Amino acid sequence: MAGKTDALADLLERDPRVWRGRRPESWRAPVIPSGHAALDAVLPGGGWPAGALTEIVAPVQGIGELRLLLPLMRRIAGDGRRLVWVAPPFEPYAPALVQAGVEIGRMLVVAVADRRRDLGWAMELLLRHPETGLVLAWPRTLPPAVWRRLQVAAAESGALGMLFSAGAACGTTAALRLNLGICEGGLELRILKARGGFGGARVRLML
Amino acid sequence: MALARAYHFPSLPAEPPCEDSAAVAAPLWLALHFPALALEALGAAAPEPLAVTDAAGGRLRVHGASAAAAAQGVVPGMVLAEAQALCPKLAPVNRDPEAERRALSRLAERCLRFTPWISLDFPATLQLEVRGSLRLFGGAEALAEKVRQACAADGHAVQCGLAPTPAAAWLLARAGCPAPVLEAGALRSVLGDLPIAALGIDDKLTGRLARAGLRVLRDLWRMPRDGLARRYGRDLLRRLDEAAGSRPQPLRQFHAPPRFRAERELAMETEDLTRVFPLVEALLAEFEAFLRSRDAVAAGLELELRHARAAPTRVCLGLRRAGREAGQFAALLRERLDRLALPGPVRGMLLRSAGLQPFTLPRTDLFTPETAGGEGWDELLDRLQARLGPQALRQPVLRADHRPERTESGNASRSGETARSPRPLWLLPRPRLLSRRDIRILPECERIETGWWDGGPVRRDYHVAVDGAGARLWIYRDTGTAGPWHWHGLFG
Repeated sequence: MAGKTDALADLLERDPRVWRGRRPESWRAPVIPSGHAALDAVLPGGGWPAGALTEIVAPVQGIGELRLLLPLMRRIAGDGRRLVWVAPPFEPYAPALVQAGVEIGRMLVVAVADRRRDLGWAMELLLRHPETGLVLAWPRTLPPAVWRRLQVAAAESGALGMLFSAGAACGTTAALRLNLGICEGGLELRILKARGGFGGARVRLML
Repeated sequence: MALARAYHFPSLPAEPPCEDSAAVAAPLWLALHFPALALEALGAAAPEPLAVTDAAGGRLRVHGASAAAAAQGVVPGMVLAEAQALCPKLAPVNRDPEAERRALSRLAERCLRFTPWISLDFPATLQLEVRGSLRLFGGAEALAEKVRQACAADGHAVQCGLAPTPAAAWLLARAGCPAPVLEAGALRSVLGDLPIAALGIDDKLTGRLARAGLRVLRDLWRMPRDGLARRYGRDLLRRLDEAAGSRPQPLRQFHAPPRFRAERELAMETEDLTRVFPLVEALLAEFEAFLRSRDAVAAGLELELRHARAAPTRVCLGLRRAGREAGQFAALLRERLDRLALPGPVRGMLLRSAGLQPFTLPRTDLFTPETAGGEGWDELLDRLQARLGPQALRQPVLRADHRPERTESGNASRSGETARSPRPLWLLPRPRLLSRRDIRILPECERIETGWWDGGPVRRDYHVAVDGAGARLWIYRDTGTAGPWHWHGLFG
C-alpha cells in the first residue's frame, strides 16, 4: 500500500500535466523569487516565472510598478545578466537605481521611434540573447503573432519579459497577469491569471 | 677524409671596383616640410585671424598663425596673450596632434607614387628617398616640382629640401633653401650659412650659443668637438653630425595601411533591393577574403549605392567590435537598407573598408561564460543600432553633478552623485510645469543649489507629492519663491 502511494506521489511530482488544484508547489516551471515574501506566497512556484512573459496592468504610472521589480533587477544584475528597458515612457534615473542597489552597468535603454514596426523585433532580439536576464517593455499593442514569437524567444533563453500595459489586455497568453492598484500605504496586487495556479489572489505590499 | 677533399671551397673573387657604385647606393633625401600643417590639419583655411596654440612651458604659445593673423604680426612662438594684444580678434584653437598625424599619413600615401621609401620620423615633414626616382621624373628640380604640385592639390603648402642626409634635407627644407645638394662632400659648405636655430634645438640653448657668439652652423663646426659636447651637451653634437652625414640616422619606413575597395555595376538599373542585395553579399564575401588573407578585421565599412540621376546613397556602418564575417556585415547592412528611401534606381555600388585593424584573438575569461556559436552582446547592440538609429541605445550612467538633469547621459563616472534623499526612478527629459490641482505635497524638502559657476545655476526646493490617482511625483520650485511648481520625476 505504501509503495502505491509513493508511486502516485512520484507520478504527480514528475508530470506537470496532472492537475492538482490549489497546490502551487506542484508547479515545477523555473521561477525567480520576487523578493516580496507575501507575493511569493501566492505566485505559483513561489516567484516570477522565468523564461516567460508577465503582463503587469497598471492604470497609472508612478504608483510603485518599478519598486515592485527592484529586488528582481538587483538579482538579475547581480547574476551578471543584462537588463533592458524597451521604449520606456520616461527616462530611468540612474541615481535612484544606484540608491536601490541595482548595478547600472548591466543596464541598457532602447528607444524605439517606430513602435509598430520595431518594438516587437527589438524585444525578440533581446529576449533571445543568452546574456539577457530581464526585458521591461511598454508596448501599447502587440499582434498575437508577435506575442507568440516573444514567448518562444523568452522560453529559449530563460529570460523574463515584463510588459506594462494600461488596462486593456495587450496579450492574454502571458504566463502571469497582474493588476496593480493603490491601497492605504502601499500597492495592492491582484493576480488576474497565473499559469499553474489560480487567479484571484490579492496581496498588499508596503513598498 | 674523402668527403673533406671533395668539398673544396674556392675563395670568392673580390667585388670589382666600380667608381659610381657608391654614388648609386648612397641615398638622396627629399624632405617635404609642411610649415602650416597644424593649421591645415584643423581645416582652418578661414579668412579670420586664427592661431593654433600649444602648451609649452606651462603657457599657451602660438604654434601656427593663419595668414590674417600673421599679417597683424602674430608669429609662431609668441605667447598667446601677447598675440591677442597685437590682434584682438585672434581666435585660438588647440593643436590636434592626431589630426596632424592623419594629414601627414594621407600626404605620405599620395607621395608613394614618387618613391616607395618614405619616413614620417621628422616633425611636420615627410622624408622621401628619391635617388632611384630622379631619372624617372626628369631630375631633382622636376621631381620636387611634381611633389609640390601633388601636395598643393591636397591643400598643403610645402617647402622642399634635397640632400644626401635626412637631417640636412630637413634643415634645407625648413630654411626654405631650394638649391639641391647632391653630394655629401658639399653639405658642410651649403649648411654652414644656416642659423643655429634651424637645428630645432630649444630656445634656451640657442640663446646660450648666441651669447657665446655662435650664430650659424659654420661657427659650431669650427669649435673643438669635445668642448662643445662638454659645454652644450652631446645632443647638439649628434644633430650636427647627422646633418653633415658623419653619423648615420636610421629612419622608420612608412607603410600605407591596407584598404579595401571594390565596385560592381548592375546589368540593369533597379529599385528592387532584393536584386541589389546579392551583389552586396558578393562584395562582402570578397571583403571577407581580403580580411582573412591579411589576418585583419574591420571596424566599419561604407557602402555607396550609385544612381543615374541622383547623388549616391551612402551607408556607413560602424561596429562595436571589429569583425570580418561577411554574414555579420550583411545582416547589419540589410537592416539599414531595409529602411532606406532610395532617390532612384541603383546603377552600381562601391564597397570601401573603414578602420582596418590587425586581428587579435578574443580574450577568454575563465569565469565569464562564453556565448559559443551565438552572437555576442556587442553584435546584438550593433544590430539594434543599425535598425533603430544611432541615438536609440543608451546606458544609464552617473555623473558628478547634483543637477538632476545632468546626472545622466554623458561620460560615465562611478564616483557620481549618490544622494541621501530619495530619488525617483523615472526622470522627465525636461521639467514640466505642474498643472494638476489635486496633489498633496509632503512636507519633507530637499534643497539643490549648485551650478553657479558654469552658467546653469539651480536653486530649487524639491518635494514629493502624491496625486489623486496615487502616483508619487517629484516636484520643485525655485528657492524662496512662491513660484510655479515644476514636475521633474516620478517614483515608479
